[in-house]
Amino acid sequence: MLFNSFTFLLFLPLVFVLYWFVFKPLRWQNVLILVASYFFYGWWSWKFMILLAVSTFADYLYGFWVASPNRKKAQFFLWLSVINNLGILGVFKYYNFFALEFKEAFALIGFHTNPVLLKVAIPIGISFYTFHGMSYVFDIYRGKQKPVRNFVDYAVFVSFFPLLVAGPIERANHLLPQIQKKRFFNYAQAVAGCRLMLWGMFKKIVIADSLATIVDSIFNNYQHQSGLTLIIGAIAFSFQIYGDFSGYSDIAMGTAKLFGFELLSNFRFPYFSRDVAEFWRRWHISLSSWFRDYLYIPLGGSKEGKLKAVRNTFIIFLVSGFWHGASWNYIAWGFLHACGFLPLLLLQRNRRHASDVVAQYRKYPTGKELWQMASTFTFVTFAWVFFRAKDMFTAAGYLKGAITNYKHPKEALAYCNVFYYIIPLLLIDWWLRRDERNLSVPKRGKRIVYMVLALLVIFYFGKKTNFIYFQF
Amino acid sequence: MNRFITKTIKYLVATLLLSALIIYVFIEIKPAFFLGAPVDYYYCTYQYEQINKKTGFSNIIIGDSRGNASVNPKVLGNKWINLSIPGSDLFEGCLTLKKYLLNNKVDTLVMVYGLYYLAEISPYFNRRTVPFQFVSYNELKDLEQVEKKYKYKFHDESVTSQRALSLAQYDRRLKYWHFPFHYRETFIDGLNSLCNTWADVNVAKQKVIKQLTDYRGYMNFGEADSNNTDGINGDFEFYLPSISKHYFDQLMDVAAKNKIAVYLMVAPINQASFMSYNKSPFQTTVDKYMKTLQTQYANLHLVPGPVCLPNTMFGDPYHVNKKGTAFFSEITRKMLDSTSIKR
Repeated sequence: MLFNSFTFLLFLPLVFVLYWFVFKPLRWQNVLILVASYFFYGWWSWKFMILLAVSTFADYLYGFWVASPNRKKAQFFLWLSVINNLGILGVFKYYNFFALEFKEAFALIGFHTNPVLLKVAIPIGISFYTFHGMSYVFDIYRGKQKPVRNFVDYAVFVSFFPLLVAGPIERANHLLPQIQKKRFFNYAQAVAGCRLMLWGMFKKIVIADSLATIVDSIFNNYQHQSGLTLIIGAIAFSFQIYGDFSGYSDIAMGTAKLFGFELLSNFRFPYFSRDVAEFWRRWHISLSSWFRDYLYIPLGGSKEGKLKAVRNTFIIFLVSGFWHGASWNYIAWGFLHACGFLPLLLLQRNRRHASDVVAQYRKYPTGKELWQMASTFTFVTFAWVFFRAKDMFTAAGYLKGAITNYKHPKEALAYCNVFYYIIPLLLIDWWLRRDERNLSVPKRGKRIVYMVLALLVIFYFGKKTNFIYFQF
Repeated sequence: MNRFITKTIKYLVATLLLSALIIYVFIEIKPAFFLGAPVDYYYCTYQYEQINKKTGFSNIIIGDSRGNASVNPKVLGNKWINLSIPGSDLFEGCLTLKKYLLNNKVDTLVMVYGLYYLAEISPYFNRRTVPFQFVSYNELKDLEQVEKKYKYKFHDESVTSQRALSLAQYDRRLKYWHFPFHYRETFIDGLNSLCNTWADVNVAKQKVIKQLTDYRGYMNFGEADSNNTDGINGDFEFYLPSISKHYFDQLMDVAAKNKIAVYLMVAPINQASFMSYNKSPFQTTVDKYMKTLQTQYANLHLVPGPVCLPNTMFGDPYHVNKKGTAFFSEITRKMLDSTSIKR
């Protein structure tokens, strides 16, 4: 089920009413959320619901085994859990990629193979719910979390419908206590949730989907476009993916608030970052912090010498790229970000902007800050071309065209309408930049602002497009 | 809690009513701008008008925009009119014939379609036919029954389950009535073109209407002198989907009952496209299908194709230019002569 679908608009109020009026005891509320979450997921494919259930149950059991005081036994089951989760990912998401790559590699040395390829769609949200399960088992192994006795509570943690298919990737110690504690309806929280949902819908339906049409037409015919048009296409994609994914996260956080939950933040105005390190503290925060805590730090982080820091940086970014999809262009995207991040790490400048936001106590940025934001955005946009292109060849052709094709620059004028969507989004983000959860609309115009947002959502509704991150 | 629910419901109702009112007012005042690309709207609705009125022409051409572009009825004779609708396929084709017969007598019917349109690969049914209300609500409901029979959504064979099909049909009905959430995804584009391109649209509208009136439904799509763009995917395996086949059968039945001579021609393609098409799986499957069709309908005059014309006869990858129209119209005329059809 998509957040931007009519079905969801019917599903949500129904679950809301049942949750607060019918299933009042905590235990029953959790059961209802679990059933609703599986219904939400099964709406897309009931067959993969079984995979979700099996994966959830396996990690639930691993949780107990990993908690064993016998460290060897615990370690054994930890590895088994990793193999199990990565195995699921490997089969459904990466098998075809490796099979084809090996086929090509063998062909180079004269062996011609014909591997069997899987002809099933990648289960939606597989990367997200397996990471939920893994973080739970890791935390138990490290002693940060106790295994949950109640299976329903754990299953809700893995499959809570707002975050099931595209995150944010929650941590057990953040979400599980909320699941296990009695929740009370909070008017302010529910209103904030509705507003966040509206804002998320606006970003997805009005901004991202409108940009998607233009981006698709440019990327699909990049060979025939002028350099300037290609640059506009890349910029538009940067905002499309931002609107799409941060819009999804806002809807997820808003929906969770309606049920009394607070989810982790996933975006903090990433395009106002002043360097790549800051960008990664603001973009898909739940994933980057997951990799930091469960991969980068266990590998030694940056504390064990420069060589190891370089190695670990490349590992984390390459894995992050590969997490997004089984294709070389995602790996190239990760590699580029590693190259952008590494100089900052080696010069120990990666934490310069760790805690503040640009122009925190001012209305406008300084010239230096503007330059920093523009150069970071340019770098990020350059890397996005690899992310959006269907393969490396296309990405290279696109970038070559953007740099070298100066013919017919006037054609780009036809695509300038992307700025109708980008500029208002940037201005609103700038206004809100100090707190992504607080939509601080001036009191006087509040009703009008929300009404206009809702009307725009209604006018743009109806084009049922998937969220980009559903494929991951 | 009650306060929250009451306020939310009030807010939602107010927003919905306001949006419905805005949509209604705008569509009433300027349907062309708020139902689709303005010029397309004028173009299609002009053709709809011709289909629904008494014209006095007893020989008709139907098809998609390739049909509009490929045959100039004036070359064929005084009793010919081109009723092709851009973006349409066999469903609209069948309706065109039925609607036209309500006020007119038909002797000859020439169908000119692009292969993709025969294969239900076109986004325009949902973009034009439904929101422009070329089909009546009852005809739309009839289509739903046909979809239920063949267990898929017209133009979207991925929708097969009963539940998904019912939802999609419900969705389409709301789109037909221009319901908020379903009416159109680019309302703001309509507003934008109304504000910025009103004058340009009016000029374009006059030009389109004049062309269609002067040439009895023939449209000159290709202003360019030549086009060498490849518009064909050679790997595509052609077949006539069940719903299109259903309407094709229906069309043939209506034609047989009214003693109408029927010709089916595939619209021409340029050399660049022919390179991809020739000896491809696409061509093999088309040839195979055309043979089946000829066996099934002995009284159907079939011109298996597509005919390849030089790039210089194309104005864009899909439509012939004036030279191409003249040439293809002449081919059509000769074919009709050879089968002794009165014109």
